[in-house]
Amino acid sequence: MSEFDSELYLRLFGERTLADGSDGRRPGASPFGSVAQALVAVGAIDEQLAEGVLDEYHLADALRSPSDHPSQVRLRRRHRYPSGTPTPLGPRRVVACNRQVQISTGPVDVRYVSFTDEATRVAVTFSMGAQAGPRLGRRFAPAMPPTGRPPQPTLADDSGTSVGSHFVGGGSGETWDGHFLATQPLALDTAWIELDGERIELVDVVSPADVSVERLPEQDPAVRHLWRLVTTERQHMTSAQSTEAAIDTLVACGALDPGDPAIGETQAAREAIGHGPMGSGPGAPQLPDPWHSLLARRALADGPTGRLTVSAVTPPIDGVSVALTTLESAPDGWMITAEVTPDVVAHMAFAQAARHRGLAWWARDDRGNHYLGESRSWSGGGDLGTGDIAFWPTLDPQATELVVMPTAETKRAVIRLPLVWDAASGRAG
Amino acid sequence: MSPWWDGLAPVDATVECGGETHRLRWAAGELQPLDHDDADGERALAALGGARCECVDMLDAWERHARDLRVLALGSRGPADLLTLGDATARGPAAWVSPLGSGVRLAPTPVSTSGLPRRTTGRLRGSVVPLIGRPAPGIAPDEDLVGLLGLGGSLAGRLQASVIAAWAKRIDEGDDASAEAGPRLTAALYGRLAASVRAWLGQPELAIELEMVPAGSTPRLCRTGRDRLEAELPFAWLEAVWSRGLTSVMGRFCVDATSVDGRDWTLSTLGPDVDSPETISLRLSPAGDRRALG
Repeated sequence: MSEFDSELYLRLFGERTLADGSDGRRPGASPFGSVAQALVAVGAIDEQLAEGVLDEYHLADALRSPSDHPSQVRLRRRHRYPSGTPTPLGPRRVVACNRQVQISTGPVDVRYVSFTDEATRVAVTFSMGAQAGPRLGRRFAPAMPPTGRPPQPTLADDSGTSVGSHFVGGGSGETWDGHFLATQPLALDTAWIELDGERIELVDVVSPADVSVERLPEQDPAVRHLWRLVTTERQHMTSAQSTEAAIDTLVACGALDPGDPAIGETQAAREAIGHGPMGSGPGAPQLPDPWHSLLARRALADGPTGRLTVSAVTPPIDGVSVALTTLESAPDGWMITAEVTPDVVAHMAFAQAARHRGLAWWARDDRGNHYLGESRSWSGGGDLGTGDIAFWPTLDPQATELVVMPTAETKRAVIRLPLVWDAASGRAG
Repeated sequence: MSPWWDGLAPVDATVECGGETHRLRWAAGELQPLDHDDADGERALAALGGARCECVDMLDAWERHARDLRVLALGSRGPADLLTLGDATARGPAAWVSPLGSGVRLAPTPVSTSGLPRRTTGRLRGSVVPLIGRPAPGIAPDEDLVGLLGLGGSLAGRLQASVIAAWAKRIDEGDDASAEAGPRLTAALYGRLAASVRAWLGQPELAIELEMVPAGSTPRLCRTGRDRLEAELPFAWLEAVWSRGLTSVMGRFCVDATSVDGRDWTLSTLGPDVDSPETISLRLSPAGDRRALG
């Protein structure tokens, strides 16, 4: 029996992908990237070598796609994982506002302001339609590209600094969510900010958050990789074929036994969350523990309504640092606003990376429920990404504490939040 | 044994160079600038701060990539595998592919064997020039390669033939680099074999298992099912058969092609049943002979 040659396996997969023609056109979605990630995850191939092979075949594929090959290649290069050691996120001041102000283009709901040494962000929700007024509360459905030109208000602080801003975020034709990013940072300790001259007094009321880092239990690398794929495939736009290709690869290289129960379990989990082959039937294996509680509440729409402002920054977890600024809940779902450095969210979605560096966004509450998140309205790339992570199922109305766990390959951050809603946001649980 | 370029017709391409349309010609394994007397001198001038010459930049790029296996990863696997570089570069110099300055004309170029060069100097092979090994300023490593592949199907094919010949020679000589490049070489062979066999049999979904065997081994193709085929071929098949466009002749699949003088060719072929071996003899005759016959 000949020795398994990982590079040859990957290159032959690339050849078949090219020959198929219809495969791999969407960055991040191609089974080709999944094959590389599977081989890297179990140490069957060097990451740099795999990255080089992906580069070649990605370019080869792009050269055969007349309409979009320059943009495809640019996109992949822009979202490469940064070389060198990233600088972890620093502390920040986050102030809840929950106020509506009138700027030059109309009313805007200001949710909170976040200050760091590097950037000032004013989180907002607003409407573009002339008749539609702004509304509190945010959409938990995936964002669509906005159809108009968003406002760019002038931002000012109490030290006399007045700067421009631009909008970063997304929305549908009517409602946009995101933040105004100041062209220069405002004073960290300012007592107020102004948007186009409309003043908002800043009162610091931040929910205490306990942050720690845990090493994940030792696990077979192939099995661990399979579960990471299941928990991240929705946010990384991974196709079912990609996960199947990863399983085939792990089996082919000898890292996974074809009869390993993890194959059936992960397929059942994927099917349960809307991926994978249809109709596993009554013979489907029992899902492991977190999935049971995750799936038990998925049809409910009884989540509390409220917001809380957080200022939690994690130490690096496998090189990735995460900051949480808000948590918002509605009857049909809940989400957090996060910053991530390096931007592994965009990296995994667009770069078709050779190593799976994505974060699985797990959470659990004090009633034993588990939750799983996926990115929405994300912007960034390279060193820093920011956006919303929407979780399912809805938050248990009886929960009083939530633990958000951004989970990397070998470590996870544990961010413990008491569910004490901001006064202005109300609670209708 | 005849040189690797025997049986490959000369190819011309045009390049916008210094505001004029210049010609490049590939013939007998070399790329030549037909409109420059002293390519080395122009390189030296450019190195001293003079204007760059697009024709010479193209020659340098050719030299950089004439043994570059990425050419085989990116290049066409066969007539049905079309690259769309012409469309992309037509967007103008700001487009992602702006390979060798803005002067390269990427429309397909006619193959010309009749026109005599106006001036014939600046041959590339064997010359030692100061800028070879470095792309032109501001050109990313991939971009000049992509530009070369955009030089019309025929010239890009000659670039692939150059790379294939260089690596076939390395394999033949037992060069360590060829062992290290085994996966790349096998993948290059697989992609071209698969495209050729599928087109020949009219089975785009045909699954193919390939074993790349040492040079000199007997080629073998064998059906192992209605939609499956196993092949044992040496990398040299690409040089002997694929580069010359001999994969399918008279409805038969060519597994080897040999010639002593580059004029008379013997093709070892298989019938559509992937069996029934037959030999086909080809002879290249000068046009004058044909007229004499007529």
